[in-house]
Amino acid sequence: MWIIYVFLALALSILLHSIIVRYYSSISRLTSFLVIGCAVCALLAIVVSAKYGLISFQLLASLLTYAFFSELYIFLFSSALTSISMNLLVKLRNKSMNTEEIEKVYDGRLMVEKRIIRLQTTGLLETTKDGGFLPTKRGLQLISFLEYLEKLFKNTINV
Amino acid sequence: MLIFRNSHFAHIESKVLIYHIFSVIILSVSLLLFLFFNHTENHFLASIACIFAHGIYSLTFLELWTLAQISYSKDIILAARDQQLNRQGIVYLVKVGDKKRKARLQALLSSGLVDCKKGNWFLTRRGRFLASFLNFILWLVSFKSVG
Repeated sequence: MWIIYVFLALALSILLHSIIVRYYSSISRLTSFLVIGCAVCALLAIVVSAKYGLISFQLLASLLTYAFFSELYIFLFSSALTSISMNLLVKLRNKSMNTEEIEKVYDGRLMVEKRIIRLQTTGLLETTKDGGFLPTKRGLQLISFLEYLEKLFKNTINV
Repeated sequence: MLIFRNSHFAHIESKVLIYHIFSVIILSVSLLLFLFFNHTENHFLASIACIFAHGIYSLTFLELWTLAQISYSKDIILAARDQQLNRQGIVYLVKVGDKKRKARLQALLSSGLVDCKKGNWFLTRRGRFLASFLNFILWLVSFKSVG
């Protein structure tokens, strides 16, 4: 029975998120889903603990199942937005293309420009007076964290 | 993964993914064997919790690995930090983007999601299914512009 509550909670959070992003189109998809997801998670915890008790395996299993599927959903929509491979798949869904057409619709300059705008919107990059770009304090913190991870994973990849 | 980090194995996205899938399968089989001998409801629920906790760890690991190793946005912030995000810097990043697009197209081809005949790229049946699913996700979150 607890699994039904989990899937109902997931459906509710996805539905609420979908409605809210349509009303407030400029809102961050990630932040809004985190807020809605946490609120629905609290509701799920109340419902499951009321039925099975606060210290129960049902509560533990339902919270971890809900957290996993929520993270998977975040992974899917953020990848669909930014991943080059997933974007190519979506673009090829509309029509088959030759190499030149792919290069035109998925142009390198366009890729850079879109990412710069996105990084500015999320407060990771700022424009300088001479028209260049510099990372913000948050951007620098993110880079330090990624460089630490790179050392941990021992980066050897260039593409 | 920390043990494997010095080997070539840990530097290829698909192999990192396979490693995590393999790890989840091993855990699931072990828990099934455990449940075979201790089949109580609490043991079953604890096993489910273990599998999904592993899933959360694997997904977080893959996200961080991708972000640290192959993220294009990271390259852009790095160029900005090194004060190279000027005209020449952007030209360099455009070249990196073109290289990434070619590499990803080849990866999609070798994974059987797209096919290429006489220079024409199109989705396979599996690719079409995945693309439709991604399109549905994009519709759900109401993304107007991707890329």
